[in-house]
Amino acid sequence: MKQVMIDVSRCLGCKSCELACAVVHSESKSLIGSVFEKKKPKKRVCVETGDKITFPLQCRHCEDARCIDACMSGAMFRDAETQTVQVNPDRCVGCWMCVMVCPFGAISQQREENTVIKCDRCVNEDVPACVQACPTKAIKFIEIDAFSRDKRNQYLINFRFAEEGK
Amino acid sequence: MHYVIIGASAAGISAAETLVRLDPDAVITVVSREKDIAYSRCLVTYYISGQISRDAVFIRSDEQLRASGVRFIAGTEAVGLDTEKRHITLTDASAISYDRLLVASGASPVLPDIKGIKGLGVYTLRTIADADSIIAEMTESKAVTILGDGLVAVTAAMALNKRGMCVSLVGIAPHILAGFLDSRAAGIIQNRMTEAGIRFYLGKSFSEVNRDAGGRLNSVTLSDGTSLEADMAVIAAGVKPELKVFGETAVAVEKGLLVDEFMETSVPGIYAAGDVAQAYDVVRNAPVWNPLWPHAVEQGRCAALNMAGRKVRYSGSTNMNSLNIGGISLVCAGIANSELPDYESFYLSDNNSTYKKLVFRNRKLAGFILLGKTEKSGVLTSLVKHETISPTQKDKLLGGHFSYTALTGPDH
Repeated sequence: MKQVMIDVSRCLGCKSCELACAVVHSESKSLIGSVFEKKKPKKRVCVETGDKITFPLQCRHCEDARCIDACMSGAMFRDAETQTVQVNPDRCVGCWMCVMVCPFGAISQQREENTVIKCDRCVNEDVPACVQACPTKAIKFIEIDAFSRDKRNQYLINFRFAEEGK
Repeated sequence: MHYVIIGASAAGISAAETLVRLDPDAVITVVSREKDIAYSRCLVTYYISGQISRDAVFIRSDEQLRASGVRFIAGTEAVGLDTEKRHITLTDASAISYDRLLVASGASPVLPDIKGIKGLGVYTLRTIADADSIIAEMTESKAVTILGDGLVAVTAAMALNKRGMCVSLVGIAPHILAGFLDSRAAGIIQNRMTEAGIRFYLGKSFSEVNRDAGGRLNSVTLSDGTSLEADMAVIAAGVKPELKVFGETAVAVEKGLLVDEFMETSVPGIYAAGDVAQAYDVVRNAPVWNPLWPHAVEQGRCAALNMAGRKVRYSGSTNMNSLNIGGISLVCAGIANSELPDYESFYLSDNNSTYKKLVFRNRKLAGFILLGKTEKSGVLTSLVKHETISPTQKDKLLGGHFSYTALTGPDH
């Protein structure tokens, strides 16, 4: 299974991922087209700012997903085929329980629609839009089997010590 | 192996599905006193308000339940237990033997001892059947009086208000939702509800429910002598754990059924999860009865893992609530409603549309209330469950930086 991993030492905070995410979730799927759409497309990835780092944060599709446990309306579910965490907007009632428990703060409230949106990992695309759009390859889509413990740790270390250049 | 589960709501369904996954050859029986099973109790007020249909209250379809291979016995209550013979007895006097038993029987509404409370026009609100009865009886512009100041009372008030009923809310506490909110946050929500047309009678209770000669409800008298005209009354004065199955069997109970870190009760082989159970609370560092949907699902899964022989410790609960009332969203977790000596409260924002309060104790985030803007509140909930926070994290929090990156990046 492939996962989206972030090499924080490479992120410049350019927000290309945010733009690409919004566009791929638009009706027209084009930047120009989406600008003229009645319902403005929304991004599911958010470039967050820390002390001296920027970090493109999206749903991690947790194995023990707290949002699924907390969802009392049956909207949040694990997709059997892709093993990703998905939300069915027709069942979402806007109780924000998932927002209350997501440890990454990766679920967004849509006040007007009274529903939540989050990263769907572009399950209909070969490669997620944020990954394709990232000019520095900070966002990677990597086969999890090939992604050893060492590599995982390196990503975490990069995240912790990015600004020190360690 | 025969697993028997009492209850087919959040904890019961979560446990049954986990057992199916872990032990496909096992026989699993789920007994429910309700005819309708696998629905979301939290959705019944949404159903009353008309926001969703009756079908949408169910979180599993009949087809899914059938395909699970689990045997469901619905509409029959477990009323007896023989721990020697290892069987439970049902209302129809039949017995079901078990190898491992999970008590996920939930809770039942408390009906206070008030003169005239039993009879026509007075409803409790817990089950979908309760909601059906209320919907059948509710009439636009008729008066409904709700007894209670907790989440069920508040959401029922909004739902019946939306249906055009004249709603009065009577609560003993000085403000609504006092179980987890301070008076400031509760006041903002009360104001919104007042704008919607709901009338509050707080610091009061019912002293008598009055009926006409035909037994039909016509008014309620409050503890201060006020008389409120009422065509319907909804009693939402709290719930208590449903322990009927234990009968005379000795089992450790405090506010709820006490369980150890593996969700096992004081009776070996009998586990408990959900609203009936009182499990470890990470903030209070003690067993606390936190009857909440997310905990029920997690506890049901954890109990099932242990019933199937995996030793898995329950990670612990905490009080947490999320509300979306009249367009005001509110999330709170931990302890945020009391001014105790060694708790430090900080108010990051306080106006009529946003309210942000963080409460610290020693080196921990003990609790918070976010009203108005609740984005990223899960990051804070997660911190509340953490052991300690660093001084840097505390500074960040006080600066209003709640993002994952700000709170967990370099130097933390």
